[in-house]
This record gives sequence, structure tokens and C-alpha cells, in this order.
Amino acid sequence: MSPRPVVLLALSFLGMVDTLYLAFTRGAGLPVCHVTEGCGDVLTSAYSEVGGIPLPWFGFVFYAVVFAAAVFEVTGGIAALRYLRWPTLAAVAVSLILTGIQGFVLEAWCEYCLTSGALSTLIFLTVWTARRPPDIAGTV
Amino acid sequence: MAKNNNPSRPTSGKTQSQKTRPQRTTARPLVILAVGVAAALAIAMYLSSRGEEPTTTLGAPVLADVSGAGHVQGAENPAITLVEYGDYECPHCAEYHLILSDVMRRLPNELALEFHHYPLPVGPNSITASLAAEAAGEQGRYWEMHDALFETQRQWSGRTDAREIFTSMAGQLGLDTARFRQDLESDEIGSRIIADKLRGNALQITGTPTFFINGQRLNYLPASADEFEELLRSIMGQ
Repeated sequence: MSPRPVVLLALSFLGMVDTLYLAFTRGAGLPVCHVTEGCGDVLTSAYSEVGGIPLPWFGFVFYAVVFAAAVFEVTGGIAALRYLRWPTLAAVAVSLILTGIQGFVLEAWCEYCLTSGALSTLIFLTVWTARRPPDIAGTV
Repeated sequence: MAKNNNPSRPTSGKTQSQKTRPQRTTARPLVILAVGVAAALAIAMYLSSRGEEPTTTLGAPVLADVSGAGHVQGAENPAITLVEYGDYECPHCAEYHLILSDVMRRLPNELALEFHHYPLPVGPNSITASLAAEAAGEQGRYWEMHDALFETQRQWSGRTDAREIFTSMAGQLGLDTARFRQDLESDEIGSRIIADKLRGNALQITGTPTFFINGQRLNYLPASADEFEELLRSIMGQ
């Protein structure tokens, strides 16, 4: 079996922990930065929520979907990873925008947000470098 | 897949093998999925509940003067003046308003709060709310309106009729609403908000609420009134 689903399992699990940690700490104090400076600035900024919902919850939903697809691929024999191509592309695009906001608008960095951006990029690369399944090859 | 062209060859054998093959089930992946999500939840909850202390609670002293020209309440001769830059439409500021109110009650003789407006561009009513607080201040009820704005934030945030709501609140506070409406349009009052915002920009504020204690930026926002009180007492003890 390809190690790809297992890699995705690990990456998405880390992503769930990261985003849940951000969601929990954002609601009760703020996480402490160890590497960067500005976790508080980023997480309390005007860009930290959409429609009143903190962004980490959107991230958690994304990682949970990737985790679910990887679990089904590994244990259920269902080729679920092919459905992740466009969601992972969207996630990387959003991560790039948010990283840009940190760097150019807020001029503050949140290491947990950067970790999430790195994880979503690795997930994107893992999914998009996979050979496309024969049943959808040539259909796009 | 090869077809079975031999009519004498029983097809029941294939059916039999399908019957004996383990059935694909969604139960196992669902259990693993649930366990995975639960494990992530547990780890995140553990990490976030460790009460990790920041390595540096207070940042380096800032060059610009953070205090002055703000509204002040609390102790007359405070050991600590907590300077807050906040936005009335920011949910996090409303949460910290509750926490700070509690802390102020616990340290009535030690703590003073100095509030500065820092309306964020994302809040459609942020500036109007700041104007409302200042307009109420013109009639000597700044802090009453300050409290009311945070406590009723959900009722006016994002609404197009916020100005009417604020006027109604002014009436409930016993203010002259005609004068209040007039003051909402006052250039002089507007310039106070702009001055606060510029002062905040000079302090490189990027999010709200941002607190300064004795001229030093608070890098870590305590999660509760207990933690905030503990932090302030530890600073007073230094």
C-alpha cells in the first residue's frame, strides 16, 4: 500500500491538534509564542474570525475531512483521497493569504498559524503528487 | 474483467467466494475516525489547560507615551495603571471587559484603568460606538456608556441602525438625546478618536485589546480574572 494515506493521517492529525489548541486558547487567554512574536496580535486581529467564527475552527474542519478521507482510504478500501484535490488547493490558497496578512498587514507572526500553513501545504503536495486514479484520469 | 463464456461453468462459485470474503464495512473506519478526533481533542485540551506561563509577560518599554489623554477610572492613587487600547465592536474586548470589571472590583485601591479607542476597520460600527462613548462623556456618563456598549455588543454589532440603538441607550442612561445626537456628529469628538487611533498606530498595535502596564506592553492576556489579578499582584510585588 502507498504510504501516502498514512502520511496524510499523520499530517491531518497534527493539524487537528494545532487548530483545536488555537481554538481553545483563543477563547481562554491566548497561546504563548515560543519562536515568533505576535501570537496575541494575530489571534485577536480583525482577520482572526469570519462571521463571528474563529478561523481555527475552519481549519479544524478541513483537517478532520482530510483525516476522515485518509482513514477511509487506509481501512475502508475506499479511494477517498481523490476528492481532496480541490479542497487542499483551496486550503493552501487560504493559508497563503493568511500568511500574507500576518507578514504585510499585521506584521506579526503566530507560530501555530504558520504550523497550520505548513501542514496544509504538505497535505496539498502529498495529495497532488499522487498518481491520479484511472477512473478519473482524463475526465478533467 | 473476463467474462464467463462457459455455460457449464457455474457462476455460483464466484458468488460463494464473494460471500466468504469479508464484507466492506464503514464501522471500522468510523471508529478509527472517532478515536482520532477524540485523541486530537484530548491532546489540545491538555495543552491548552496547562496554564503555561509566558517567558516574558511584559514586553520591552515602548518609546511612545502610552498613557494620558484617555478616560481613567479606578483607584485615585493607583499602584498600577492599566492602559487599554480597545474596540467596542471587538468580541475579545467584550470578553476582557467582563474580566477587567471583576479585577477592578478586587483591586479597588490599587488599580486604575485608562481606556483608549482603537476602532478596527473590520467593525462597521466601531467608530460610531467610540463616538457614542465620547458623546456620553460630554454629559458626564462616559463609563456608563462604555460598560453598556460592551454589555450589549451582540445587540448592535454589525447592524445598520446602531446609531439609533446608541441614542436609545443614551436615553436609558438619562442623557439629553438631542445633545447626544449632535455630539455624535461633532468634529471635535471625532478628532479624539482619531488621536487615539494614531497613538495606537504609533505603538504598533495590531489587535485589540492591547494592554500596557507601567509603559510596557502586556504580551500575554490572562485567561481569567483570577489570572489577571495574580499577574497584577505579582507586578505590584516587584
